[in-house]
Amino acid sequence: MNKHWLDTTLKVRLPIIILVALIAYTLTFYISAPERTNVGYQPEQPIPFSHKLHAGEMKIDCRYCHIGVDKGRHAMVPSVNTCMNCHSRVKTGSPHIKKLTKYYKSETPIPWKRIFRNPDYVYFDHSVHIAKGFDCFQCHGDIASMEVVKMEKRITMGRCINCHRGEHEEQNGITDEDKGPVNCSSCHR
Amino acid sequence: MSKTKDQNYWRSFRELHGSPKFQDAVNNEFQQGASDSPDLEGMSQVSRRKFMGLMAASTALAGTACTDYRDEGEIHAINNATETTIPGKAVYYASTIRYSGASYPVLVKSREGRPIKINANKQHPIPGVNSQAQAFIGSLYDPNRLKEPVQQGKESKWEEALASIKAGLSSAQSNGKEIAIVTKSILSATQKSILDSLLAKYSNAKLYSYELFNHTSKETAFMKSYGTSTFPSIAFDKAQVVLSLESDFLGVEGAPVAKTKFIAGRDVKDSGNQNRLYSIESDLSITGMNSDYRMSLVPQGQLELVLSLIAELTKKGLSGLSANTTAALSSFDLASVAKKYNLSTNKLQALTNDLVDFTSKSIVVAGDNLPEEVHVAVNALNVLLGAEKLYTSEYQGKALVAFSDLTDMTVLAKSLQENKVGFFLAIDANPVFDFGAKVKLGEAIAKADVSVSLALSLDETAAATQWALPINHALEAWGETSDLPGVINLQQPLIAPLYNSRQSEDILIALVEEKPYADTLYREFVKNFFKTEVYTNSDSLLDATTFWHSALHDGFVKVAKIVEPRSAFQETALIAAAKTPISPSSEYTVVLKQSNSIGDGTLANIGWLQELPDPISKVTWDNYASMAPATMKKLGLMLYPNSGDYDYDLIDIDINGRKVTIPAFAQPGLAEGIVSICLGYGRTHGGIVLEGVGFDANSLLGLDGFSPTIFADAKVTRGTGTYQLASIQEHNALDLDSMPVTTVGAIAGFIFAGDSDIKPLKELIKDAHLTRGIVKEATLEEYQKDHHVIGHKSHLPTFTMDRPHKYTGVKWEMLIDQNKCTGCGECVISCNVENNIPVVGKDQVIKGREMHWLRIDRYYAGTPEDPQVSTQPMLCQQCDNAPCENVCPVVATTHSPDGINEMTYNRCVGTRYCANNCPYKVRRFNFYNFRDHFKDAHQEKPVFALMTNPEVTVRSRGVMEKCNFCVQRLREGSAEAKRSHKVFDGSGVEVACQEVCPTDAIYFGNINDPKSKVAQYREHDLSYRVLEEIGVRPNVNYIAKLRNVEGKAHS
Repeated sequence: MNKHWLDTTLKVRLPIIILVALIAYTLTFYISAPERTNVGYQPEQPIPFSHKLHAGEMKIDCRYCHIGVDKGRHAMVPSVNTCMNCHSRVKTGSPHIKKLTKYYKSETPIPWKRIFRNPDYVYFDHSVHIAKGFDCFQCHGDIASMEVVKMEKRITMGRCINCHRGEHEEQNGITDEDKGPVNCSSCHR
Repeated sequence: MSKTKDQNYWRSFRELHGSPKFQDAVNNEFQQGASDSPDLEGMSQVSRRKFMGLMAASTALAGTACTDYRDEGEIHAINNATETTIPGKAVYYASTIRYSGASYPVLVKSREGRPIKINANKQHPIPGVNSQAQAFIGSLYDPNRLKEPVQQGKESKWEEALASIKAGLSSAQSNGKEIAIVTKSILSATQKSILDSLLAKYSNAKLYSYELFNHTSKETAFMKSYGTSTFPSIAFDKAQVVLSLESDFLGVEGAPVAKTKFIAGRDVKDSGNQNRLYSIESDLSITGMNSDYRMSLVPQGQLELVLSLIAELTKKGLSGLSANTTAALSSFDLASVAKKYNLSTNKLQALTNDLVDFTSKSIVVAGDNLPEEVHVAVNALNVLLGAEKLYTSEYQGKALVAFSDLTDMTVLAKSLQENKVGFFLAIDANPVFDFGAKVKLGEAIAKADVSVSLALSLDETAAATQWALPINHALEAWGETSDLPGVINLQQPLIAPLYNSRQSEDILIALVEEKPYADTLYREFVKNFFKTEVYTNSDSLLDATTFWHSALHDGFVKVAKIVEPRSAFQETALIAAAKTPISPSSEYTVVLKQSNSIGDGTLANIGWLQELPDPISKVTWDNYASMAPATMKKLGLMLYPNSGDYDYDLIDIDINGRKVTIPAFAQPGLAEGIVSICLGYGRTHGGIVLEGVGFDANSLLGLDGFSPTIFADAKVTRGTGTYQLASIQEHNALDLDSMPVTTVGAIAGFIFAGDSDIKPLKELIKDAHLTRGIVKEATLEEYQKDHHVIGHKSHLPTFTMDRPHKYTGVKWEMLIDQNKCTGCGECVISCNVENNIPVVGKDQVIKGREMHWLRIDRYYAGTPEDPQVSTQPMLCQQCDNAPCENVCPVVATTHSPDGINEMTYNRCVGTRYCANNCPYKVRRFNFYNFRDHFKDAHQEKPVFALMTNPEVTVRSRGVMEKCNFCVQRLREGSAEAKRSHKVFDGSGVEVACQEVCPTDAIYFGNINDPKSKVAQYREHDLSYRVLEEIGVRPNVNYIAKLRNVEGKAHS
């Protein structure tokens, strides 16, 4: 039987093409993962504020600094005067606190590096989640044990929806009737 | 079935005359040119194989290059925050906006320190805003504002400017030259006292305070009739019959509170008590549009009409005027007046009968543009009717300084020319444009030794003066107004000055008191005024500081009403007025009026206002000469464009040498020979938006008029050429022809539902276009006879294959009462501001690409000579069975559990299938990034970003958008309930269009909450839903209009 040109195409070339495509896809998927989800992002901050010390060891309530979290959309990075509530007296000799005091006195905001950021078209509201009894670590990871804050868990729409559908271990005892909305305009408008 | 269905509605002459062009417009969702086919020639020549290769290579490159984390930027938290600084939470401040001679108490919404929306302060005793007051948000962030002091076109320093002012003032005083100070109306007691001390300090100083549209003739008439120029506001809520003579009290002339009070008498729940509005006017105004009986009459005929009405009513037995007076009027006869001016005797009969039947509950209102003798006669007529009982103890808002008029300005221009003026100062006023080019004030100002303009933008006056100095915007400035009765309003800054501007009062105080300038001078002045004048005269139990703070919080304080006593009506004034020779009707009479959209022209650089269609003509971006079709025919002009879609014939108008060339627009309902033109257009300086918009009709102003704004004996001739007017009256026309597929579907629905009221199939298809019932209305009489006069459609069953979705929680619905909607368009502005809707520009409007989520459809019925007008706000109907949702290939438009047809912009790929499938034509497509496209990226200027509502996505090119019931407000309402651990019942949420409606025509709420107004009105017999028969189950209800006329509507 004569060999048809299709035989080589189907038996050799096609599998190779598919294999190459698969490898390319898989490689790209993993290589570009940080860029897409930012998991593992741990930038250096202008002042090495330790959540491990403040929130972990001293057990200062998150809401002492992030005052907006139960009031509105933004959790809020604290204003410098919040830091100065304590640090006008505490550890004033430390070079970092000196830097902090300099920011405060010169009335310039501290350029904190942003870690968690939703796209512009996502209208997320912290306060309703707090009102429903969620803990910060459920989305943000165990911040209280981090010396330098790191993006530990991915925050993507898939994760939002999983929880809102009530199919996730993170649903925190929320009953079916009370679970979050999954319609588009709850977050996108 | 309904008796009103055979009503033939039309919205333009093209439609009335059945032009095929109109049918095309109806059948095509997108205007010609709105969407172009791709230009194959101009496309790239890259082959598909090469394209795929390039794509693959770039994907691989992107994949391997993206190995690092995204930099998410920085967060700059405020350094020293107060406890209440919560980003993401709106803060509201009470303040006051001054516009066109009135002050508007407002509540300003501020986000992150940026004012983003102006609403009425509803706790104020005299609340209300209008389109222009709302648009002050736009003028604050106008990129074309004056930013630095400018001397002769060059940037300069404030110190130099102030030194120059000081030197100019003292040298003018010592040289014995005049010091001319020009301002708009003065509404503030503190401003007046500062100017008074300036006038006292410089004895040569003269104050010219003006307002282009004012109540001067009414005030003089009240002076003559009652010995006081203060005229009372009218208790419209107690009036049963109102006769409006050339007055637009429901439109540009009226205070918002007058509209609210009048329209409150049109509630369908109290239909037995419906008021009746007669309107006799030359032009078709908003008031005329909403009247039950309307007649057109040239303004010259008004005096004769009023006098003959007095004579007629006296004959019918009304007393109140002395026998001598009535004898003096015996020569006037209503029948002959009716014959002379071709007025309908039937309507006049109905009018006189009503006036007699409802004495002391009927009132006559005359327009501001009528001469004083008409107002005197109207006062007498009101005496006869016992209408003085409807005069409240409150006066209508009034300026604190008498106005200067064109005569004074002409004198000023002359003394400027003769070099008799040493110092010219304009404070937030633009007399150069306002009084027209004929006064030549601009050239004259150059002759002043020193000329200064304190202005927001480099307008015509600021361009003519040596110094143009930027002043603070109303939202950056302190202020106080005392023009409204019984209240003193406070104005407070919401934002630090964006530019190097200063508050004009601060400058004046520094000059008068010879203090160094400080930006706190006027604030302290107002504070002191409150302490010494207001607080001491109040019976407040608070201490002075708390009193001041609470006044700031409320935006106003109540003070004792000072009622100027009125003497009894002076009948001699009437006899004198009756002796005024009746002006003969002229062939052409030019009526100049205030624009419904841009007001008096000071806000002409706000695109939102320019793009707001005129409520009557639906023309955007231009002024034009409205004329009756008969007048057009006489001049040989075409009624509607034949060749191009928007090309209108130009005409030349000449009033004693004052000329303007302007396009002619056929307007139903105008009196023959009337040429009606809006002022405020055709400006040349002051911003990029107003450039080349409209025609300068202010140049037609003169001293030879029948009244300051009405000019008889104009010469009107056909001009050469045409001009494009962006009229949207035929845009988005709902299908008038049959809509075969859906109709058949609906018929199937009827049959399956077993509706006994169904006509045979064939007949139904035949009459499909007539039975659409898009607008429904009936007369009061018909309604009282049969409550189901508009049909039983509120109980229309819908056939569906599956069971309809049950909405158990909150379900949003809107209800629009067409009895209360005046068609003014304030809701459109509010929607634009709230939802970041861009201005698209005239060229794009012509292509049908206007972005308004909410439009007001205006339908005429009857004849062009005597039209009846219906208005219908049309917005996304949030259909339960939304046809748009089914066709979206990417599920970008979906349904929410609370009944909202959601639009997810970040999913939308712009196929426009949804718009194609929308029966209401309410979806809007971003053919461009209009922010970038309009006038050299005017709306992309950085300062514009401050104006956007952060709760709403700024849409870019290629996405579909539409009304979403202000979903951001609904979500915030439900979030607030969750925060306070309450069950959200939908109360306490207002949508943007609803919150500004001066007549409360829009109800919005949770239909599942029986307490909500929507639920209460929804089951009313007059409630209907547009195109309900196609089975889409819309969630916007309309209340059919009741016309309070005898017999059948549209006789």
